[in-house]
Amino acid sequence: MRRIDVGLYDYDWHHSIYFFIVSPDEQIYLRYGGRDAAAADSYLDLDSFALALEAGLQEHERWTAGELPPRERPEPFFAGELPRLRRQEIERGRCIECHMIGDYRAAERERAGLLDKRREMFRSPDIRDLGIHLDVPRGLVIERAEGAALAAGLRPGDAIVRFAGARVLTFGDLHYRYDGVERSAERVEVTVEREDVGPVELVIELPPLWWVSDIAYRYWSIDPQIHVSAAPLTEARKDELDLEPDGFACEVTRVHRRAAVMELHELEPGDIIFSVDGVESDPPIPDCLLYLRLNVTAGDATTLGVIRGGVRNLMTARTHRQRFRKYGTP
Amino acid sequence: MTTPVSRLAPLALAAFTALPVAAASQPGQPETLEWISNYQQAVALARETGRPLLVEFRCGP
Repeated sequence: MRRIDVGLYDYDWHHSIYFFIVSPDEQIYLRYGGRDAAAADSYLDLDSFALALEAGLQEHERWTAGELPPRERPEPFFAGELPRLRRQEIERGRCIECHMIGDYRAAERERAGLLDKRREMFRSPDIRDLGIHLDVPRGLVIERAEGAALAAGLRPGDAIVRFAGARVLTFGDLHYRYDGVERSAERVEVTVEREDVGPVELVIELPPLWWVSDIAYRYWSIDPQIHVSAAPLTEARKDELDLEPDGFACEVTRVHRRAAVMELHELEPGDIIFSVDGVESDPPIPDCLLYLRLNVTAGDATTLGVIRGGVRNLMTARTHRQRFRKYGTP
Repeated sequence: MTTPVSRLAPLALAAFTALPVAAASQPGQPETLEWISNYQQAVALARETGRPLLVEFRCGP
């Protein structure tokens, strides 16, 4: 892995398996891979893999015939350029696992003050949150459209051929392009091939917080954890407690064992967290835990405004900097 | 349908894992595949033969 140009082979490094089909001069024809929070193989099966292989060979025929325009090669990047990864893994002769590249890189960017957690921690948003449900064995054919996708005009049987301005041949391509959409974007363009009609250009209006997905399986070291579950308060409950209507107050529903073992805080089920480091609202963030994850550096302490038994107090909570099969903290 | 394994035959294969997959590759036996764990070697083979590369990254063996 240390001699692989991961600038060229850029992908979401938390995917368990990922393929590229590339030309002899290293132009990427397509990607095959991608997952969701439920499973590493939600979008992978032999039928869609066979379709990807066929598409890759067709692209190769076009390349051989000189029909594919040359693409600019991305800036080269090698795992050894990450100082901590080099020290803690390479120089100790340890194997570099794929996810380490993503995690060390993100941690490096966090230290440099360059990390955009909306984009880099919440990677690979779930297309089902747009209402796109694919018929996985058929590649990019839509099985069902609902929500934003339905409103945009996508229909069952449509095959997605362009997304966010780029041609897409596989779910891996689509997922990668979707991940690349600016988190501040309000819409995304999609072209589908519709039977008996041909190409149809559509615009999907992105719902608020479209980029938020369940990232628990990643064990990001940049994702601060206080190991509680919490539910946002209803408007009526906020009103009752005299809290800001657009605030992110939430009620602790469960304190996980690890919080006690690590002595992170003294939160209890039923506590209302109404502020994080003095901030009570940040629309459209709907709940305190999401605000905390986006705004607190993993491993740091944070001050929570807590209502317990009707009394408001400030409570210090330490956050846990997670590790995922790493020998040292990046 | 044809299995993906037989469709892999026209490609040069490169895999990057803790334990690269290796299978015997004999002329006239398209169902057997040889994965190359050295990327530079795989690119050289692709250039020499004009075949595209199937590059695999995976977690674990």
